[in-house]
Amino acid sequence: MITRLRALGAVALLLAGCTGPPPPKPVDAFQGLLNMSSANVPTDAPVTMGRPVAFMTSDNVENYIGGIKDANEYWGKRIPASLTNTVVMADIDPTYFSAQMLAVLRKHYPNIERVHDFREAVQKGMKGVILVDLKMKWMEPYGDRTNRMHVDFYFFDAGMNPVSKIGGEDEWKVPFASMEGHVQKITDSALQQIDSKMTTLVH
Amino acid sequence: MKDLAGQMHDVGSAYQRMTQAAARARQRAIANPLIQQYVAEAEKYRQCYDRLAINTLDALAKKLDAIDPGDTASLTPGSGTQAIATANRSPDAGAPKSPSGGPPSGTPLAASPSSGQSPAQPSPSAAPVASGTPGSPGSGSCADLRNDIAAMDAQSNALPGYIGMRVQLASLYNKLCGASATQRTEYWYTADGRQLGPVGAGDRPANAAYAATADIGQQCAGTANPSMCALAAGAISNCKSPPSDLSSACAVAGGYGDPADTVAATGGDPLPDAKLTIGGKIYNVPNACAQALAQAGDGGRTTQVVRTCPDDLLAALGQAEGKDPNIDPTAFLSGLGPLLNKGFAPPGAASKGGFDQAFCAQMENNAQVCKQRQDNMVSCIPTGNIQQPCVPQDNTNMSGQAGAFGDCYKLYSRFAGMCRMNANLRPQIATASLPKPPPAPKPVAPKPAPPPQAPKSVTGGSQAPPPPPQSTMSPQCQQLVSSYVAAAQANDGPRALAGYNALKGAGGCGVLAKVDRPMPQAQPAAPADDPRFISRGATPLSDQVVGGCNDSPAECQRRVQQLRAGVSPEAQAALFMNAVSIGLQLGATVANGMAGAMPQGGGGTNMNSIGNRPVQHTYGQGAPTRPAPRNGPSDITGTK
Repeated sequence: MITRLRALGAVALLLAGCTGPPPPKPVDAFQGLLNMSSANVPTDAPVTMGRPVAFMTSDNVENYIGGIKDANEYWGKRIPASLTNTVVMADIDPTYFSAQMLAVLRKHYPNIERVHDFREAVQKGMKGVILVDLKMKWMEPYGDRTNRMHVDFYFFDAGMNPVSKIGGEDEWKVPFASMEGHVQKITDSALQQIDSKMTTLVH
Repeated sequence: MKDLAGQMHDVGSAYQRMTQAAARARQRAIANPLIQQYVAEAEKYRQCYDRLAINTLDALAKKLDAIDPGDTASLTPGSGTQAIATANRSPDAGAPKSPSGGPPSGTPLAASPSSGQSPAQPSPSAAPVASGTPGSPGSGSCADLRNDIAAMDAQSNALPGYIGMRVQLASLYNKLCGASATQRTEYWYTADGRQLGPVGAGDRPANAAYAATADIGQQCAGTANPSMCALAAGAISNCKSPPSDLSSACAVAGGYGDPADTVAATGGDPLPDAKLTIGGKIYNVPNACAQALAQAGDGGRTTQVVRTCPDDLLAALGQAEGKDPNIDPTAFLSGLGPLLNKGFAPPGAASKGGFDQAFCAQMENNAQVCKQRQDNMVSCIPTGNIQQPCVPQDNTNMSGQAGAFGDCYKLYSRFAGMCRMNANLRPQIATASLPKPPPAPKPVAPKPAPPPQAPKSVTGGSQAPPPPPQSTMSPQCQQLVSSYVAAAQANDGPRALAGYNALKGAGGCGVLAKVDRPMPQAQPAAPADDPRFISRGATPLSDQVVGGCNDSPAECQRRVQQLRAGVSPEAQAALFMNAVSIGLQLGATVANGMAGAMPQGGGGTNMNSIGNRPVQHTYGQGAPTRPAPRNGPSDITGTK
């Protein structure tokens, strides 16, 4: 019985997210893309987007993926393969966010293209651009045990002026020794909010 | 396909044009006291719920500002020190009687000096609704208000808390436009909501707790302070021999005058049923049902919902809640409030909207600002004398500009209360309405003499006859507009285009011309070398993950299914079992290790020192001839 408890305790420790590499700091959504701040973009303003439409992801998305990759590598070196927490790894896999984010974009713009930056968007003749930004606050094992995801879609008109920002957010407070990180769920919820607002506000 | 995309874009643009032109229509109608009040109400609510409407109304405010700064200021009572210039545009601007027999409420003390108008010379935009001047800015009517409410029904009915606002607007409409004599008739009620008799039949009954029209009466029954609730909803009959706690609030309500003197006397067409969009389908909500739902949304009684709402609506609500009203009515009713306040978001989903604390605080603050201004106001009686155009009037809380501030206070108090939804609105109003000593009359600056005004009879016959109802939309037109707007909101290009064409084919139904406009100029494309652009560095991870999904959506979705399975309860159980299994194996290993460390054979004791001597497996005397057995300790195991 003792060994069983020990084993569960070890798992719980892993699940509780022992302190690993620090998560990346969020940056301005326009960093590395535009010489301006995203702070003044109107929120939930109605938009009529020209066609064709392209999308790109912000540096925060790159950092989000990188942060997860780093964490996986960090723990991969410390945890035996047999004890790898596959549930948490599936939950935080950035492919999930990417796929769901793309599903929302394609629902509204079936022919949306991915571009690297605004120059490429202009060169490809895009009449509208959506910049996807993601800010993730990961649970802190010994502090605020909340996973919080905030996603913003910034809408740019043909002149590549930011005309609206539509966001969604959700969070989940991870109970101690729980493997319920619910990152997939808060991803779904945040994107669903955006999807719903887009239906109303974006034409 | 390209054609279709182009069409959708065109329709999208048309929809945007429509919403923007709607703002312009509101702008033109802003001088109408009814529309002005409607817009003011709608604006405040929409600040809570609908950013789309905010932008529309913001645009309206800017345009109004360009035309008449005073008008814009009137929409924002919390801003600046300018008086809210609604005195001659208040709902009773058609010339309600002053309770004191003084001048009509349309006699502001002072308009903004910057307006450049004599306060006593109503601008064309301030013409009372009853002037009946066709084509004048004040030519709006109850029909317009009705149409606007119907348009809101079509556009905003899925927003959180909408039904509560709709009930308020219906009360306002019925009070001001008197859809029918029945709707205008007010009754006395006991505290528990029992109807006693019509207010007009005689004195206040001894057991009367409050007076209200039938619908307001139902709405307020069982609330903490039903008389205040009814008064807040416009039932000013409560001010007949009012109890002390109502006296100050009645002074506020006095700003409205007696509905019998207003356009209510003319009667307007009944409001159509409210509508709710649940799960993409539109349901009619009869007034009684709307009130029951509003009460449920306000945290009040829910029992009326089942009795008053149509079966199809109940079924839809039940489906949205995930609780069948026929199977578990208690659970269904208990979940109604949250469902309504979340805008019919499915269980577990985030609210589609909600109340912002800062906004609620702002509403409360605005209410107090209006109250303070009302308390500080004096009205004046025009004298016709240039040297002394008016003399202060000691009915500071009852009419005129003060009444307008009272109106403002009342509205903001209501919004503040509704903002909190589950909080009790009435004590807040009551607290804010505590009687204050009447302010001392203020000296009135000399102003140009106002034109003589027509005397008004105390019985209320002074009001000019209202214009005939105009532009009442036919059911067919309502259907066309509703379908078109719904299609545009659903971003359904072909259907919206068909709706647009159908509406245009029907002559526009009197609304399309107000909102239709040419296609906007396309935004010029940015040059590729725009100095705002930064040449972005490499994003290998995004390229791999996002780009991978972009290139192979089907594969990506398969991966999503795997990931979902990866966090399923089964996967969690498997992980635990694996950990347990490994733990047990570890335990066994440790246990074996301990066993290996133990001294093996021969090293033990047979306890000879403390026990009986062991039997010796040998023969004694008279032993048989066969050999003696071995007596090694491990012989029986066969290991030796």
